[in-house]
Amino acid sequence: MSAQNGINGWAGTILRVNLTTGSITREDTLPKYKPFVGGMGIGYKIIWDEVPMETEPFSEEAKVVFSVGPLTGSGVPCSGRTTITLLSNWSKGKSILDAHMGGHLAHGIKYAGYDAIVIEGKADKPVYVKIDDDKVTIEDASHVWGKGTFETNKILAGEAGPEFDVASIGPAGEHLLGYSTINTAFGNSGGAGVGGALGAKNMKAIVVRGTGAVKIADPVEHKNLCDYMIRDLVGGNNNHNVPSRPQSWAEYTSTVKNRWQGGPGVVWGAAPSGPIDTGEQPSGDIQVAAYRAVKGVFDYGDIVQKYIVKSGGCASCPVRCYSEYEVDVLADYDLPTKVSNTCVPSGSVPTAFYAKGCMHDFKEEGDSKIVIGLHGAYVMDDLGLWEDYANLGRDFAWCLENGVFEKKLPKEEYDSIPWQLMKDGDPRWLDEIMGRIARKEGEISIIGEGSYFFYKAWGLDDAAKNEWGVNMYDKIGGNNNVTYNGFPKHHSSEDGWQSGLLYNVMYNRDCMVHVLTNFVRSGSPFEEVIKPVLESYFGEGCVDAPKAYTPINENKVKLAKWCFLEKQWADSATLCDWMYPMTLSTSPARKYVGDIELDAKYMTAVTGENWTMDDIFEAMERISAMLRAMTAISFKIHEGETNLRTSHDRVPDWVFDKDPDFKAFEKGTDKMDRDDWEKSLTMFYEAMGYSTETGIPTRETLERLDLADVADRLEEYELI
Amino acid sequence: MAFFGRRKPGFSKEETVDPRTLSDVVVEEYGNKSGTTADEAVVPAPVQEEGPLPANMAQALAQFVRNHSAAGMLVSLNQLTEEDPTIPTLFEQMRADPACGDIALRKTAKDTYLYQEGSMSELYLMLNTLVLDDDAKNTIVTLVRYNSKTYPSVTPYDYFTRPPFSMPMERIETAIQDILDSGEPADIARVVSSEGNSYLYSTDHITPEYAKGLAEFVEDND
Repeated sequence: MSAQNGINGWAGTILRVNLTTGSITREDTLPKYKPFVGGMGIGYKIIWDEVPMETEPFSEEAKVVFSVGPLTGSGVPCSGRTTITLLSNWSKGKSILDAHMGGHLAHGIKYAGYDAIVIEGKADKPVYVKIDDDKVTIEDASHVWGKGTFETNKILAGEAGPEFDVASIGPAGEHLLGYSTINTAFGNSGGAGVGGALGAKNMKAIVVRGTGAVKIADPVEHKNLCDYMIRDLVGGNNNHNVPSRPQSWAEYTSTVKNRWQGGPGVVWGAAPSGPIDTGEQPSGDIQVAAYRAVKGVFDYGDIVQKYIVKSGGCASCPVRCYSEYEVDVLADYDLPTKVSNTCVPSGSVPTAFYAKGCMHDFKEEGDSKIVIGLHGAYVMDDLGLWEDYANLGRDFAWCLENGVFEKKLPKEEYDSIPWQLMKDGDPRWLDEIMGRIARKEGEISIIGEGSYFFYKAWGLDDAAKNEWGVNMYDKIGGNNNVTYNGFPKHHSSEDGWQSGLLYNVMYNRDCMVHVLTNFVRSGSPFEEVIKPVLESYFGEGCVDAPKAYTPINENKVKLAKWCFLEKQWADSATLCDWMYPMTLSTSPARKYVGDIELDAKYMTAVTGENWTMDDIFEAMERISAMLRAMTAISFKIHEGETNLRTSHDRVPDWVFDKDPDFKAFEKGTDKMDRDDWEKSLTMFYEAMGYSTETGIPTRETLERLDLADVADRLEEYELI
Repeated sequence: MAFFGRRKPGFSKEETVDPRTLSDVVVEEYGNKSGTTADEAVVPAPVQEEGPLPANMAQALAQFVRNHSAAGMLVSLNQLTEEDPTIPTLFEQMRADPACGDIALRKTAKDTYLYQEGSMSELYLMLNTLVLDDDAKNTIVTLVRYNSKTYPSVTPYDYFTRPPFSMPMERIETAIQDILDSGEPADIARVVSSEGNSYLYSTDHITPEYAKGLAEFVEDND
C-alpha cells in the first residue's frame, strides 16, 4: 500500500529519482508547494528553484517533472491529467513549458502516493523507472530501447503486471528529436519535446502501480457535486452543451458540427455485440453522458460510424472523447487495425504528408481520411513523434507542394525516399517518412526539430534567404504561426477575437487553452445563450459573435485573463482543460448558465479547507508570473532579448493582413487591427500586473504574489 | 375503431381498445417519407405506458398521443382520419374532456398534429411538423431562416441528411436548386466556402459578406 499521510486532496509526497546517482528520495509536498497548488504549479516551482534557465534542455542537468494536483484521482470528473514540466529544446528562447496527457497514469501516480515525480540526472544505460506504491526502482530498459511505444508499453506492462500503467518514449525521443512525446499504453501522449528530454537521460519509460487513495474531507458533498456536474452541466467533448443532432428534449441543435455528435441514429457500428445506437441523451440524465461525444464523427463524419468500436477515455472521465476503431482495410497492408486517437495526429497531420491528389479511397467513398488519418496517428504514437498542433504537417505539406525537398535535400537522400508509396496513396508511406524524421535519418529530419529551427536552417524565416521568397511566419493562407517563436495558434483570434490572441502569445508552445472556444463553438445561439451567460460573468461586451468583432474593451480583457488563469488552474489541479471551467450548462431549466465556481466547491469538499475562486486565481497569477519571468530570463540568455512585448509576444503580419477585402471589425472577418492589438496588449499587461513596456511582471506584482525571489532574479538579469 | 388495431396499411379489424398495444401507424409514416428508405430513417417506437385502461375512446386517443410523444413523435390527424372517419368526432370529444387537457395541437397548412404538452421542445416540435408535412422546399426554407436568425449560422446541405429529416442528398440538392433557380423565396441564398462546400443562408438575417465569413468559421474548426 502507498503511504497515506492523512492529508486531504494532496498525496503529500514528492518523489525524486536521480538517474546519475541512482538515489531515490522523498520530500513533503506541503507546505512548500501549496502556494503553487499542484501539477503545472509544482513543476514550475521546481524548475525555477532547481534548473537555471541557462541549462541545456536535453542535458543531464535538466529536470523533467511529472506532476498531478489535489483533485487528481479524487473522483472529480475529468481529473485524469498528468502535467509534465520541462525546458523547451525546440521553440525560441528554450524556455519553460509544460506538456499534458490524459489516460490513467495520473491516477497511478496519485494512488502510489505522489504529487510529483522529479526526474534528474542521466543514466549510463537505458532504464525505466518502476513505481509500485512506495517501492521505487530504476530498472534496465535495454530490451525495449529502440522499440516503438506500443510494443514497449506492452512488454513492460507484461513484465510488471496488469495493474501497472506504462508510459514510454519512442524512437523520436531516443534520438533527441525536438518534436517528441511520451505515450501511455492507452495511447495518450504528452508532447512538447518530453520524449527527447527523457531520451537525453536514457529514460525509456515510467511504470506505475498505485493502490492507495485520495483522502476526501467531505465525501457526501463531493458526491453531490459530481452528480450535479454530470447531471446539469456536462455536455459533449469540449463541454459543447447543445447536441448536433435534434433530440426531442433539446431546445437547440448545433447547425454545424460540434463535439456532441451522439444522438438517435448515431452508432458505435463495430461494437463486438453489434451496433449500439447512442440514442437520446437528455440533460439531467446522469447515465447517458458518455454517449454524447462520439468524437470520431466530429473528426471524420458519419461515414466513420461503422468503424467505431466504442468511446474510450481517461480515468474519472464521463465524456469519453477517445473513439476506438477497428479499421479492417489496414489489414490489407499488414498494418494494425485496432487504432485510436482523439486529436490532431489522427486528422490533418497524416493527410498532409501526401501531395494533392495522391490519396485515394479504399473501400468506399470518403474513407481515405479515416484510413490514412488513423494509421498516421498510430505511426506517430508508436514513434513518439509530436506534431506541434499540426505545424509538422503544415510545414511538410508546404515543402511538398513547393518542391522544397527536391531543392534542399542531398540528391542521394532525396532519391532514397520511396516517394512512389506517397504517390500510390499507400498508408505505409507514413511509416517510411515519419520514421526517417523520428530517427533523424537524413536532413529531412530537421523538420522534426520544430518550426523555429527548421525555418532557420533552411532560410524559410526570411523572404530574402530562400528562392521561394517566403517568410513562413507571415505567410497568409494555411499558416497558423501565431508568434515568431515556432508554434501555432491554438484557438486564437479566429475563435476568440482579441481575448483569444492575448493568451495565445503568453506561452512557449501552442497555448492549449480551450476555455473560450468551448462556448464559442458549443452550438448554442449567440444572442439567446452565449452572450447573456458570458455577460452575466464578465460584463457587457465581453464576447463577440463569430466574425463580427468589435474593438477591445475592459471586459474582453477580463475574459482573456480568466481564460489564461483557468488554463493554469486546469493543469495544476489537475483537470481537463477541454472540459473545465463549466461555463455553460446543458440544462434548459438553468437557461444554460454553467457554474464557474464549481472548481472551488470541489477544492473545498476535497481538502476540507474553504477555497474560493479568488484563492484559486491568486495562486494561478503566481504561476503565470513565473511563466513570464522564466520566459523573460531565457529570452535574454538565449536570444539576447530583454523585452517580451516586442519579441516573444510579437504577432505575425498575417493576423492583421488576412482577408484583404475586409477592414478589421467588419462583419465577415476575424482579422485584427494593429492599433487595437497594441491597446489590447497594454490593457492585458495592466490587468496582469506586468510592465506595459516589456510584458514582464513588475516587482510590485511579484511581491504581492509572494515572489520576491523572482523579482530579485529578474533584477539580476536587468529585466525589471 | 379500426385504426387502433391496425398494424399495416390496408389491414384493419375491430377489437377492444388496449392503449398498451396501440398502433405503430405513425411509426410507419415517419419511416416512409418520400425518397427515404426505412433503413435510412431513424424510427423511434412509441412508448408503451403501464397503467389502467382509459375510461373511453377519447381518452384512449389521448393515451395514444402520449405514447407517441414520449418517443418524440407527433400524431397526424389527417392520417388517423384516413384510417377511421369517426376520428374527427372522437377528436372533439377528447378536446372537451378535462382528462385530456395535456394534449396540444400544432396546425400547419397541410395537417394538424397532436402531441402531449411539455413532451418535446419547441424546436423539435417544429422539426417534426416539417418532417411530417414532407415538403422538402418548405423544410429547407424554414430552417435556413431559423438558423440564420437564431444562431446566427449558415446551414450546410448535409444538415438535412440528419435525423429526423433523413433526406437523401439528391432530394436536398433538387429542392435547393428549385429554390435558387426560381428565386422563390428571394431571401434564400447560397455561399461557397474556400474549400468548395456549399451553405445556405437568409439574406433577411445575414449579409453575403458575413455568410462567407461564417462559412469559413465553420470549416476552420479544429
